[in-house]
Amino acid sequence: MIKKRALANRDIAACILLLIAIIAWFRADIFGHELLAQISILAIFAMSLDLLTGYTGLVSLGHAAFYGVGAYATAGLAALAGWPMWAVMPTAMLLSALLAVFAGVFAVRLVGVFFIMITLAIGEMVHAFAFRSRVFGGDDGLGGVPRINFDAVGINLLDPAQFSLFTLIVAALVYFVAAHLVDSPFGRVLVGIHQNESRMRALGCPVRHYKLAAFVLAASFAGLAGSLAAQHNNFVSPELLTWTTSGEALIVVIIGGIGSLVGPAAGAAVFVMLAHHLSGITDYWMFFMGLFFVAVVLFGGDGLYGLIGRMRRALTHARR
Amino acid sequence: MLVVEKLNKAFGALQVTCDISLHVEPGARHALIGPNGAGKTTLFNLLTGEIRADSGSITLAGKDLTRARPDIRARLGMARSYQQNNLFADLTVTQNLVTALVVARGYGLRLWQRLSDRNELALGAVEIAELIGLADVLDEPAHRLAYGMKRQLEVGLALAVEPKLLLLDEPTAGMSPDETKLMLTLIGSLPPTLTVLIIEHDMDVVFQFAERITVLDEGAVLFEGSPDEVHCSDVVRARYLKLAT
Repeated sequence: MIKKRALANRDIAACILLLIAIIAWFRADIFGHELLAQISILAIFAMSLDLLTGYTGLVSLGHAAFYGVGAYATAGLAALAGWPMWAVMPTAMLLSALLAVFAGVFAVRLVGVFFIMITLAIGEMVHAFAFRSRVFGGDDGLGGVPRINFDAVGINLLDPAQFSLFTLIVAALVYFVAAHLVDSPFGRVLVGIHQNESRMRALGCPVRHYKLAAFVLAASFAGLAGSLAAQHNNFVSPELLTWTTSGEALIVVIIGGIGSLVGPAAGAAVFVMLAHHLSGITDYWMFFMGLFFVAVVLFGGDGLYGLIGRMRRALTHARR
Repeated sequence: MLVVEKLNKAFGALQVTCDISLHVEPGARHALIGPNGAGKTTLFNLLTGEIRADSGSITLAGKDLTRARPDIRARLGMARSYQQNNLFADLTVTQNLVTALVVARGYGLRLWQRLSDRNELALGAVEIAELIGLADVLDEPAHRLAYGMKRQLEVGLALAVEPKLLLLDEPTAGMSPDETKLMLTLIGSLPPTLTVLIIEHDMDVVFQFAERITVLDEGAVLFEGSPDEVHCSDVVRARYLKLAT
């Protein structure tokens, strides 16, 4: 028997999304490239949170801490210490992961609302540190963050088009890695913990170790997103670390469709574009964003990805 | 196989487990009976480590498990089914069993393999599904199964970890007579080397299945003996069988 590997719906949706992004890249002007880079970075951040929240079932309100550490580590190592960027980016991810190990050891002991509260506290602690830190410019932030240098191969990331393509490729790679993780036996264990933690334990699963692993993995991808954000803006400020940044990521994940990876990536595009267009029309754009969010949640809570899935099923039913 | 010595547990002023000692021989079919609130499920929870005993000791196959975490006890060969269905509700029957197999066989740290490429897991899941009579509903989500089938899957998850000691908490609770018959066939066909400790209210099931019976009452062992001895015991009759029949 030949083993055929059917392409999952999720992967098809991801290919379509990537295709749309590539078309958008060809048609974008300078400002469009800024938006595209912003979307790609938010997509990485949202996918990292989805690993934790959507798959493992751990709702975090402190995910910005790891995003921020990635950004501040990039600023500190590149702008202050003068490290080369090829060394800065992995180190930034590593530092985010390291913070996640220390924070996670305590956090994964808690469940439900207590887990949410401790992640919120961790986020606020890191924010408070950045806000007060003289080295990192306190609440003024720190500028002069360079972008990774690919001059040797004729790529200049100071060009908005080339930088947006770079972030898009990184986002696609993150999707590829994350999708591989959730499709692995490891990913199934995470889903099992989400579904029924006590049963997993009774089956012999060291639940806390796996939660910690998910926490650290999610944090390192968030750190990567943060590093790209620092390079995109050439600047870091404590705003990256506020709990509303974490909340925004959670909203993006829910708008897109929790536990689907591609949903949160699409959610990032919807969120950035909606914010961009609404803020051009009205000063009350946040209010309308809120309405949109409420509508998505009321429509079943499984986000755009779930909505498209249900529409497809309804169509195939109608055809019969 | 299982040796329990002088186990005690109190919730506040309420002594729910009182100096319970229990010896379960390898390959035994041992039943725990007793009125509601006698502390049967609490004893299971103490055995699996879901709650910690105040004093006493628990030994499985010569290993002291008194202070071990629940997941470690499970890995050392203790598996249980629950009185209330405790499944992976959104996952299919196959996925439920594959999840248990991933844990049981220690595949959890394989981050870069595709689960769907692990044929032996899928085959293992089908094998168990056949054993528990769920081979026809492999792709059905657990929450959509009929009640009796959920009970069967409950036992299937416990079997997937290939335990030395299987703890069954009222496997036939709430089942129709037909479903009970199916469950009886299932637990009757378990390998003879597997040690089984079962909590059961249905006296027909108990007397048909068990070789040894421990009667609990108000958190303490009231009586222990063979089914015949229990049947003839005045003290058990007075306290329990009268109520049940």
